[in-house]
Amino acid sequence: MKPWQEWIERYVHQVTRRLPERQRADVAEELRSLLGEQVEERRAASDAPAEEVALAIIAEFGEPTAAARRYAPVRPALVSAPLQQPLKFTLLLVSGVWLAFTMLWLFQIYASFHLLPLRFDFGASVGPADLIEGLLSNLGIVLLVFIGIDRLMWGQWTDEGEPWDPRDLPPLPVGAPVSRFEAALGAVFTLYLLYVLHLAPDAFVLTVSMDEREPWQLLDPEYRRLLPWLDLVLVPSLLMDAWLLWRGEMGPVERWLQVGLGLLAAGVFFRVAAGGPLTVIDHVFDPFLVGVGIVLAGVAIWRAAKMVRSARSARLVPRANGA
Amino acid sequence: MRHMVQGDTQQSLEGLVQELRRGAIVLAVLSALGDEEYGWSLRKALADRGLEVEEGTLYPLLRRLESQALLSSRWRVEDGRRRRYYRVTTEGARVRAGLLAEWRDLHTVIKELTR
Repeated sequence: MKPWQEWIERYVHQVTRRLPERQRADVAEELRSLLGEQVEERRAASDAPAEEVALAIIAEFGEPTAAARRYAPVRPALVSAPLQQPLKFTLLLVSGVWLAFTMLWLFQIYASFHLLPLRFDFGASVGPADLIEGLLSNLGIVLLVFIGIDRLMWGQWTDEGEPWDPRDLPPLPVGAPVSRFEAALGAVFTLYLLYVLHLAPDAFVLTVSMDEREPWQLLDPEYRRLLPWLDLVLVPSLLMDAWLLWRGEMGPVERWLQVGLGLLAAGVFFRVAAGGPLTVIDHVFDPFLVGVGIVLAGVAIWRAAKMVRSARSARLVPRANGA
Repeated sequence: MRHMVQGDTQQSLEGLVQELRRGAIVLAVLSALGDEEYGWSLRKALADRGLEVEEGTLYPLLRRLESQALLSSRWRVEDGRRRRYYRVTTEGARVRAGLLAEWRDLHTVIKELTR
């Protein structure tokens, strides 16, 4: 890739990464074509180096955040485009936890779990209307938090007309971009689990009972024997999330580490399910752990196979000249 | 006129001029798109007729008008390049006629007010 093309690519990447996913490829192709054509036309009319011409054209187009905002769909949204993917992920996560607890409730295994400000209370006195109310209130809390974050970050979007230097455009990422918010969420959740398991099992407000008169703590009194195994998964997970949070992209090394972590987690889950006791409802929890372990192992093997296939086809394709 | 105002007034003027142009540019784009045009050629066509529009304004505007079904687009390969060509839809033509009528009414009113 010629230097001026690299600048165009950097700019296109910075504009389109701020757009809804369905718009990105199309807008990227159009921008690339338009900006490239302008560079060629101006170069034909002047002696200026192509790189300088490209930088001038990019500067005229505008700072990437402002340019992306002009491309964004007019219809109103509760949160801005960059936060929409993390919002969807968090809503799915909360819905998934709610569903898991609903399944326990259906089997008359009553449980409550508080992860401020979210609450999952499933007791014998809870009825279907309460379940729906609980789901809606938790989803509502997530939505309010994201709207608050969006408003706090509003200043980042209002930069029309601010002077900027295209030479400050960051280089193209080597790997696939990673949602920093998801990485942060993962890190916070893993830290929370480590804290509770090591330092405050009683604060782990998850009480489970077959009837509400005698609530138990979920964790078995002997669970500490399994802590080294759980740490074997949780600590590398935390380090991986922190690394991705800092880096913001997932390159080949990170992908292979993810495969390794998936296989490790699967192995640990099988070990914990076979050993134990971890919880007072291991008759339910162990099959769940085995199931999750199988899924993790399957996903890890699938990812590894995909990366090996991609690497093989990349070796077979000859390099393009002048690239 | 711009040379006669200063400082904050100049800034206010520029902001208001931008707002004035914003609506006019939509009508200009809908009017200039006779046959199919792509972004770069449309910008040149507008500039040749005296209306300079920044690329950062025009290209997103074309997308926005397309999302509102006032324009349609397709990719075409010309001179070895893939270009996105735009044309006005039937709905776009109706809106253009409506905007033009509004523009003429406004022009008459302003002319009357500034006599």
